[in-house]
Amino acid sequence: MFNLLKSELYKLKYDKLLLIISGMILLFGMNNFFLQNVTSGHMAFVQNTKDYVALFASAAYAGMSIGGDFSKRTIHKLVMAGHSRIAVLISKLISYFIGCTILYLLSLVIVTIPYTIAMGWGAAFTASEIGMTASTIFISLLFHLCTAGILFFIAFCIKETGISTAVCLFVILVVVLASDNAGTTDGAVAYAISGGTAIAQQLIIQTCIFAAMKLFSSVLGTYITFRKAELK
Amino acid sequence: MIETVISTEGLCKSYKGSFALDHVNMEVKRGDIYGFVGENGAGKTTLIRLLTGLSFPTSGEISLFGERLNLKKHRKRIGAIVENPMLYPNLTARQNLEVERIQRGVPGKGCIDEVLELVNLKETGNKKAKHFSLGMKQRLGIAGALLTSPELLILDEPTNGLDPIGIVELRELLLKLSHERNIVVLISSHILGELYQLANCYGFIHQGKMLEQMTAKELDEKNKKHISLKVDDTAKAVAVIENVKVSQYEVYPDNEIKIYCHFDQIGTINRRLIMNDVTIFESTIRGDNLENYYRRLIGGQQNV
Repeated sequence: MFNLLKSELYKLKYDKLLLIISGMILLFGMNNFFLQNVTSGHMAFVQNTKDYVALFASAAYAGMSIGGDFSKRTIHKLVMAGHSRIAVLISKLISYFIGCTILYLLSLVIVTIPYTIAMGWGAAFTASEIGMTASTIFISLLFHLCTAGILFFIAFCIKETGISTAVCLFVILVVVLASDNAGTTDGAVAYAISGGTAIAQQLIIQTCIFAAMKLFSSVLGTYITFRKAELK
Repeated sequence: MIETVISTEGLCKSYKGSFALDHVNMEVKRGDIYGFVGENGAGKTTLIRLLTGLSFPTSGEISLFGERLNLKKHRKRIGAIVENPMLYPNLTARQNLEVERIQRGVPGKGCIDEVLELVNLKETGNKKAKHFSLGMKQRLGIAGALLTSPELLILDEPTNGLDPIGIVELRELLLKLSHERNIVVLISSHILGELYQLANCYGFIHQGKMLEQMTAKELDEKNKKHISLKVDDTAKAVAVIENVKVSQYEVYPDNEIKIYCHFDQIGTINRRLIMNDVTIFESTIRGDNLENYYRRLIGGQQNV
């Protein structure tokens, strides 16, 4: 299991996929930079915790990375090497989450830092402000990974690069179109939990339970799918 | 006693009711280079996929290194290529092997140069796998399979895409690995002539059924050019053929006599037998190569 994880991290380091998707985030980030009507780094940060760019990036990453492992049949090698399927799944999940974390943080940094440099943070940069910012990032990242878990499940079910990338992106597109254009609730709730704004307690609980359910059902679903899957 | 490395008992694999493998019993022993012969769709790859854990049997048993339980543990002792080599196209040959080395837990990076040299890819170690020719990919796949110094090497059509020189080099490499490192090799190939020069044991599979397993010696014996006579009374027949000065013959329990000389005198032998009241059920000249033997075995001119 440890060896598997090490090899996944080695791949993450040398494979260009994460770099390419990071480049896409950079392009979207620049686009956002000019379109956003914000007046400070803090405002840019809050808006971007609710943005969908990282989810689109994670969708592309899930399809290309996990789907690619099936298309190129490199996942077969791990099973053939005598690793248990659960170990293969967990190592893939961890490396996928690390990739998603990088993409998520990049999507935040790409807009927040230029705004902060150009217009200042917009609030007193006290210890509590730093704490709140860090806690918002951490909580919204957790919510982000819970959603990304669904994309992981989809990619494991489809087992093909092109189709799984398209389906993952489509799923996120549906989520965006179905929402009220105000951005993800997850980001807003994360900001509220960190003490940024007041929000209904019920919404916070609902969001947390929903996120946990998303992650649990995705991982369980992936395990059930992969446990006895015929690897072709 | 020679250790059995692979053994299957009544192994079945069915897809939607039709059998891809039908009660296959197979045995590969230490020291074997086992040539797996069968036409497209015969079930060779299905069997290899079951052995390597990519698929699950519908019924039957698989034993690896003498154990039926915890096959995963024993798969760590296997190096395998199933169909095409599984490579990361965006990584260099060396990086591909490094990923393999890490996930297999092989200590030290020295083994990478060693296997690259073994498959003649040392000069191209820093080239990305996506820029490799099919033959080079095959060789890189073999290098990956050899990285852990496996006790059993399973190669499914490893000569695909290899040029004639590459095929000869692969044959020499496998023979070397078998003799020097005592690695057991299970190899399936469509190039039966090539397989014949390599394997010392054969398994013939057709439509999911294992038709026959035999050693190379037994195969040679069966394929040696001879007159095959099936008669009602072998004792009487032997006395007759000895009168025709035939000395190189063998008598088999199913009333068959094989004569390894005097091929131009088959008519005389038959006439003498009939004159001495020996009933002849069959009289024919036999002797084939591996390809013809397999064709005869499956009963037709299939695409092998």
